[in-house]
Amino acid sequence: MSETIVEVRDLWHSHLRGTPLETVALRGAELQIASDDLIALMGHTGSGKSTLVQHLNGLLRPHQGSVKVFGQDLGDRKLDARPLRQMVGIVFQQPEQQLFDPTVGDDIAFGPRQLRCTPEEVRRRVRTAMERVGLGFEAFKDRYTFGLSGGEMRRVALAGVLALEPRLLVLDEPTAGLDPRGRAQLLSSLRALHADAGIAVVIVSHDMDVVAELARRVWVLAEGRTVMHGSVREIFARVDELRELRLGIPQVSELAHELRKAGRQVPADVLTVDELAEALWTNSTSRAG
Amino acid sequence: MTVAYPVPGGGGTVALVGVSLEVTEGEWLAVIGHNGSGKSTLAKLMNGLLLPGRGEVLVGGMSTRDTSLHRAIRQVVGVVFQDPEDQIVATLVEEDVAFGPENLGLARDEVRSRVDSALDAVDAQTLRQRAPHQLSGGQKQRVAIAGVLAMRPRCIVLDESTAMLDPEGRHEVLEVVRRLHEAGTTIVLVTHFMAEAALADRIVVLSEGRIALAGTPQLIFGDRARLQALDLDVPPVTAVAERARALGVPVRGMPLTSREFVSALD
Amino acid sequence: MDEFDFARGVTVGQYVPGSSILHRLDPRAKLGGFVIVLAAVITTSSYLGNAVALASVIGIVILSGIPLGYVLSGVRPIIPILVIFTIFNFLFLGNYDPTGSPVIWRQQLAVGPYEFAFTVTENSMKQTVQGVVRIISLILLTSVLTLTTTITSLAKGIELLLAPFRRIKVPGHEIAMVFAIAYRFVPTVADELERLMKAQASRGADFGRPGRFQFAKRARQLVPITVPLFVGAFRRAERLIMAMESRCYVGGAGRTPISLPRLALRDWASLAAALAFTLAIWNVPWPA
Repeated sequence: MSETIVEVRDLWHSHLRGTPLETVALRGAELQIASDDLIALMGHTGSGKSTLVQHLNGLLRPHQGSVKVFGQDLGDRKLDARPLRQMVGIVFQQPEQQLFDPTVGDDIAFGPRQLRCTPEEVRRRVRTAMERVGLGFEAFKDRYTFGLSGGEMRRVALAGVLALEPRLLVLDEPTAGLDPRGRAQLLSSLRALHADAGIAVVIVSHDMDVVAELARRVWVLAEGRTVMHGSVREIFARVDELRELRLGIPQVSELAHELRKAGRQVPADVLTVDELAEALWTNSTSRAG
Repeated sequence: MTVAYPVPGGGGTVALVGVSLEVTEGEWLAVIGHNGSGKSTLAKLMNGLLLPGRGEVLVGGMSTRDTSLHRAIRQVVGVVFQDPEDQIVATLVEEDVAFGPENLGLARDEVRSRVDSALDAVDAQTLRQRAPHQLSGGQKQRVAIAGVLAMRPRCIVLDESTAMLDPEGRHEVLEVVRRLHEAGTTIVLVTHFMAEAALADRIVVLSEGRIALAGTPQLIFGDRARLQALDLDVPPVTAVAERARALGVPVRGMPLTSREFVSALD
Repeated sequence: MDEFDFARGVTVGQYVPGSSILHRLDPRAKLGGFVIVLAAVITTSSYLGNAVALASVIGIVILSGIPLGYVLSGVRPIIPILVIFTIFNFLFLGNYDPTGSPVIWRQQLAVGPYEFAFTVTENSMKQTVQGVVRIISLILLTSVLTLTTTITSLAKGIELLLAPFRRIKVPGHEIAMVFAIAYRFVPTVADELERLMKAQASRGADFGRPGRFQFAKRARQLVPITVPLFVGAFRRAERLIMAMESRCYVGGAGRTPISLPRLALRDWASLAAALAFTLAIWNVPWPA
């Protein structure tokens, strides 16, 4: 049973409001997230995607328009947004830079401890979170945080947010800087979180191949507005529009587009290697026959 | 110019074992591998930032073990790193690009002309008076490349220089690299993006500190099974070609880019 | 309100382009003049003298062509500290008056087993007021310097001024380089700080104020910010060193010498004016 957990309508927000350096970051952005969604938010640098996402756990408040998260209206000035920070977990870019506790287990435990969980509960959450990101509890809990590899540190940071047991997980450029192995691991963890733990997942990414691999729906922002949204196939089929927005497309879609330009009949919305190969085969047999 | 490296051994944690490699003048070499494979270590060995535990690194005949030669070595091999922000030293782009030549004690006019030609080569003349923190990632990396170019090196090593950039920035940087290569600069591109490695003349695959594979892109990407055994893969375009061929579609040769693929079908 | 929007309310360190005489002065003249006027500002010890010094500094600010309101707003962030400073000095300094000046007001207060004595003497009152005035003058003067001089210019000025001291091994270039690099990274670190605060707040960290004097608690609260900032700073320094060495940086030795145009008449004139001002302030027999 899926329900709408986030509703953003006509959202406006400015940075440094009231100072001579004021800039409008969002001009009427829209977004809807359902409890079983796996969404990607795309947009060129400066499109406002980070600003939009920071409203979801109350770090920012709407200046105009409405933002409702889990039924709470963020436009209400009297609303205490702190409970939202448990329900909506945001993982920022390069989260490994936020680690501060010398012991892995303690750093991950920070969130649950701030939530005033009992020691047993803290332990349980840390263990679950670590398993979800692929770090063995016993193997890693006492390790020296700053001695881990970059990829491991990133997983510790992610576990730190998962330990809050959010219902919505937002990740800003989760695969940036990861090598192919690290990338694959992260994506499979996210898929498992979505499927097994029932967490709604939103990734903000400019890596189109990651979006094509992971997301089901895509929302596209440009200059502070939502300009497109739909299924991942629909959106990546709109190659020319995406190009105009200075966004890339997945490499497979790019190839399909080139083939179509050269006159081959392949569908515009192929996403995977296999799909495109099969489409070519269908194409070649129908041409021969 | 031959840059020769018989480089076994490492420091506390062994990063490279028994790596021997020659980079010939004018070629574009790609070094691929996972984090921890030793590729960044290799890049830093190439200009003497790191010294080999055992073996030698020779740049144009000069050994990096001789620290008195480092100045000369670093005018032959320039390195561009991964983080765009932490390579820019000065508060203005123009001054940062001048940093290298100033370190060499060159006369003011010489410095000025080198800054001009370096900014030209990376298409950043309009950014001269800007402050670095206002630039986009791609712009910052181009400025970093200009800073290295101002040293007039014969070889440029890019250590995962596109890893932190958005697609537009990555495209900007690769364009600059392509132009430099065409003009005769030797390029060593350390990356984990297969599509980037496909642009090179030659590829070396590192795994756990050793050279696992070496050859032309055609050769390397032709053996998908061996790459997958190393937890790597071929560029998506090549994967499509291979799969299509398996299904019976006549695909000629080994296309590495979209354009090659389209012509491989005719 | 937006808790995380850092109002760039700090005027010290900012540069505002302009064409006033102050903008056009050579940085060496400005640095020299700054030190000279500063000496006057912090050593005058009479009410009238301090008032004249403050008024003069305000006059210099007006000379820079930068809106006075903007420069004064740079004082705002430190008002809380000033208030505490004033209150404490006002209440307690009189207890330790070495000059034995007449007492203006005294109050004993018994709280439980403790006895507090609040004393205000003529001298302690003067010290308190002067302290405040001097701090404000200092901030205004420093702001004017950094508002009218680019960091590059300042760095060159510092380096050239320290050059004669090479002989006694004062590393003028390196000092200037340290300032310049630190300044260059201020916006970068500010961004990182903002991101860090948001990330830790998203994990439930609370940065609310625990109360004026709970310093230990506040320090603990800030660990999720201070530790990553320091670790990040070290990592950044490492990367920067590699980039600099790769471009053959070995310190000041052998670098292309920096040069500034010769000092013009106006530079010498300004230095002379500053000197005259300071000497005047020192020698006027101010009423005590």
